[in-house]
Amino acid sequence: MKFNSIIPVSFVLLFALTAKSQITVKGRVTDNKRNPLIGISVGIKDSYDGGTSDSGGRYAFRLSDKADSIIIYASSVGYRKYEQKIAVTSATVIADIDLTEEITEMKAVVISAGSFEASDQKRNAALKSIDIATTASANADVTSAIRTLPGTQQVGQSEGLFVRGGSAEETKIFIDGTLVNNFFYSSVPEIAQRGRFSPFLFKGLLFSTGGYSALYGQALSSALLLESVDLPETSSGSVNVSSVGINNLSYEKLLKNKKAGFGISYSYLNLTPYFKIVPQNTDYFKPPVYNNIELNFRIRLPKNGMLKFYSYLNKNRVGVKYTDIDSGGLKNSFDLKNRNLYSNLSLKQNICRSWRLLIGASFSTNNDRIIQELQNMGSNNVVLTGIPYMSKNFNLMNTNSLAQVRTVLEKKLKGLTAIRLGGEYQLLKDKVVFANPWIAGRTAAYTEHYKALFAETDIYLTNDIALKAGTRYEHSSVISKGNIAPRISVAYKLPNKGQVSAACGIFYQRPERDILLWNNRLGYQKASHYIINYQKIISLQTFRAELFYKKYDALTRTFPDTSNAGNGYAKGIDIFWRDRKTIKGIDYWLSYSYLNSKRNYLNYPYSLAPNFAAAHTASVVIKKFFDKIKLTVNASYTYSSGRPYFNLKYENTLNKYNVAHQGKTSDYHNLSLGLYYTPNIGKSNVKKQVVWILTVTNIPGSRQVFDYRYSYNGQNRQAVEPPARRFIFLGCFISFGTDRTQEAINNTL
Amino acid sequence: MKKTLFLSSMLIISTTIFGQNEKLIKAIEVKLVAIDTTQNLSDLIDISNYFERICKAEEKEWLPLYYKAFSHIKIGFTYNTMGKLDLIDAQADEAEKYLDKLEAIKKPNSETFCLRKMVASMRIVADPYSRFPTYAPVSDAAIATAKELNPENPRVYLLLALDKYNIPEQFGGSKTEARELLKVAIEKFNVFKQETKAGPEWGLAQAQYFHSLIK
Repeated sequence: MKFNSIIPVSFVLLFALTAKSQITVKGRVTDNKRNPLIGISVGIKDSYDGGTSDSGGRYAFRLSDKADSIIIYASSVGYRKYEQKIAVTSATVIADIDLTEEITEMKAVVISAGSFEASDQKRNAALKSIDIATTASANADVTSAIRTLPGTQQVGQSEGLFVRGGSAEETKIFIDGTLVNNFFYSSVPEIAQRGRFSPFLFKGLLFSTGGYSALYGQALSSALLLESVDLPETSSGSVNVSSVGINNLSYEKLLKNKKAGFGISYSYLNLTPYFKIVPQNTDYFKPPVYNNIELNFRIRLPKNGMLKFYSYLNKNRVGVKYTDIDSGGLKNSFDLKNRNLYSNLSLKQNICRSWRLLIGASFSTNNDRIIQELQNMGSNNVVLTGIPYMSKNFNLMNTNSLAQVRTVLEKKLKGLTAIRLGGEYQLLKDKVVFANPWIAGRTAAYTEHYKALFAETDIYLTNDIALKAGTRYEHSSVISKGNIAPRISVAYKLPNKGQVSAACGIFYQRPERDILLWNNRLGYQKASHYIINYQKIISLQTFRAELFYKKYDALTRTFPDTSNAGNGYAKGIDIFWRDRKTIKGIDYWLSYSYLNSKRNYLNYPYSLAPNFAAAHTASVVIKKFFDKIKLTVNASYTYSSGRPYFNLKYENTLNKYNVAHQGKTSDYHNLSLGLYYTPNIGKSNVKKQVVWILTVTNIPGSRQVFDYRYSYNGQNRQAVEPPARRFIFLGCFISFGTDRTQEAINNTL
Repeated sequence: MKKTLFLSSMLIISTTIFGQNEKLIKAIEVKLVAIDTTQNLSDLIDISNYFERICKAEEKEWLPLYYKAFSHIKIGFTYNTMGKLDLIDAQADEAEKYLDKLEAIKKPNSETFCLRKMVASMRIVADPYSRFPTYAPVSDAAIATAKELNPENPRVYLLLALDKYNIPEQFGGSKTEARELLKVAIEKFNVFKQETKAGPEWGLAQAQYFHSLIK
């Protein structure tokens, strides 16, 4: 008996090892909708047996061993793992397999309402990181490049991003999650200033034209989120010189273990020689001079962690004179000295159980010393009494500093579903010291403790439906009141690869500093956003169209009383098209915005279209790389229909402001060209890479009128124009680094 | 009776002790020619699935992981020739996933660095203009390490040659240098000794093909 049972077993084993079994496994692989799935791997657990599904979803293979039962599995990226135990009862085992789609970044809908992304990694990004640095009209200025996207205005007389009928103050800029208070160089009357930070500091950005995440607050219109670069790939040095000075002398060191690195850079810009060669209409008695030092270190930590530090120290001075519009013959002299320190420390790390921790801290301080004088032709100070001359002589010192810390905890759940919880604290100190020939010195100051708690969740029901819901609790000590700002967005994927998303939310912002310095009884200003977006991305082409409506409440009013009685609205459509496919080698994008906006705030006597709201704005950006001559040509053209301008004149007798005069500026055109010549690309034995850059803005030299300034009596007006019709930049950027391919090849041959 | 019993129990023992490894090597060897020469997408997917099954059954072995990663690289480059650039990244992600698994059980060697180099090249071809600055140094560093770890590895020279061949002349490409490198590669292929059975040996046909293209 004993033997009898062993013998057949050993025979079976022998048989199994020497000959293929006759058992066939076959079936069909389908998705939940019964559509056949192609190329799916079907296998048997603990064996090499298996096959691949064909174009009809069918598969078939033979078992190499005999078995009473098998565990069949199927797997493919983007589908949930399938495993099933099946009894082998006949020579043919039929196993049909149903796979459930997994929610993955590759397939899932993107919540795109209101946001533009620049990234080299994300497939839905409208822009690449390099686009920010190489857009012709922008001259490597972050926000100028963003002005080629829909939803933005071409305001040339003051810095900042004017988004969808919002003022520049309504856009807040964040680096690695923390707010940057003085992102731009300090304001100079009627001349837009550049951003302080180089686009090369950032690896990606997200520009929200509305409906942004509950993780951010205190911006009525828009948030620009910048993400700083990680460790460099190699150590390198660079020397960048140009027609405006030494743009950059820098050294970046990557340690041998590639886990840490540090960098230092210095720049000195002086526009004196440039202004000598290219005459300016504005009288710069002190052409801008900037001294700048930047330091950084970055350490890669275990558990996918990264610690980054960046610090920026800048000192600059500029002096300009304008013809005094009231007197005729006199001049207004404006002299600004600015010092700025910005530093940012951020930490990202995975902690237990799919939680990720993000901590950001920053400290910044900014100091402006302004001397404003009325001068005669001999540049001597003239003091006149009476309105309007009394206000034309003053000294001003602005000092503000901001310290903040922000923590976000993120938990990734199944699929792409995630929860984010966090809080932030900002300590803002703002002080102004004012003096004029009649007032020896008056100080106004306020201290703001701003606290916020926020929670947000991304819920992906399927790859086709997603929801982002969040809420933010904020408390401002100057207002001594809290508020709750809920935000929600949904996205739905259409069968044609397009998708629709919608967003709405409530956004609060404290009044501007001028109000807070002199009066702190005001409350939050409020905006409500409603956005519907259609987006379709197919290989190398992106199309977006977005309808929006924004309602302003409780805007600051300064006349007849200082209150929150202002209000307004903005509505319109934004369209974006980017194509890297149709014309081979040419990459271009088109933006168009239609805006209808009116508001009643500050001293407006009634609801008016503000002077930063043009009805039509359009941009075209084209890039082409000519590989034979190693030249990249980048052209951009921006159009904007005329913007409203008006003279709000105080009528003594009526005790109110009147619109004494109004009109629309002429249309705005700007055709810019950028040439980037890289002679050393790919040459053997080069130790350095060289980029020659030539950019010219407004090539045809068309007249650009941004606004009009009026004399006090309303009799005179002067157009506000840029300091020169064109800006020409010629630079040579050299970077030194080791090119290891060349070494490898040269050692071989 | 006893004899049969003895024989069959010997067979059982041999399959458990030697057989497992033999079986694995055999299973890999069956596909070595195919993975080297196949250009057809559905065949490559089939090969990739084949190695995935072996990876699942042999979790402690590095070779199945190596070939699984390599199959994704081949698929990625096939998508490139098909002009389906947007599908390349997913293949690069998969290749990296398996290379990471491999490096968790075996110290990275010259062969795995060759694959790392190819993954970086894949990332570049998916979007050359914006990715070249980021991934070119990664690719260069990987191939340099591959060469450092084994200067006799013919695939190092093949990959360097392909770069020289594919990159336009004004960017440092050179058909003559490519030819020289291919010559070196072919010489090294001819004397290349496998350290492990069924270890990487692909590339000779490709080297000869490109060598014949350059006059």
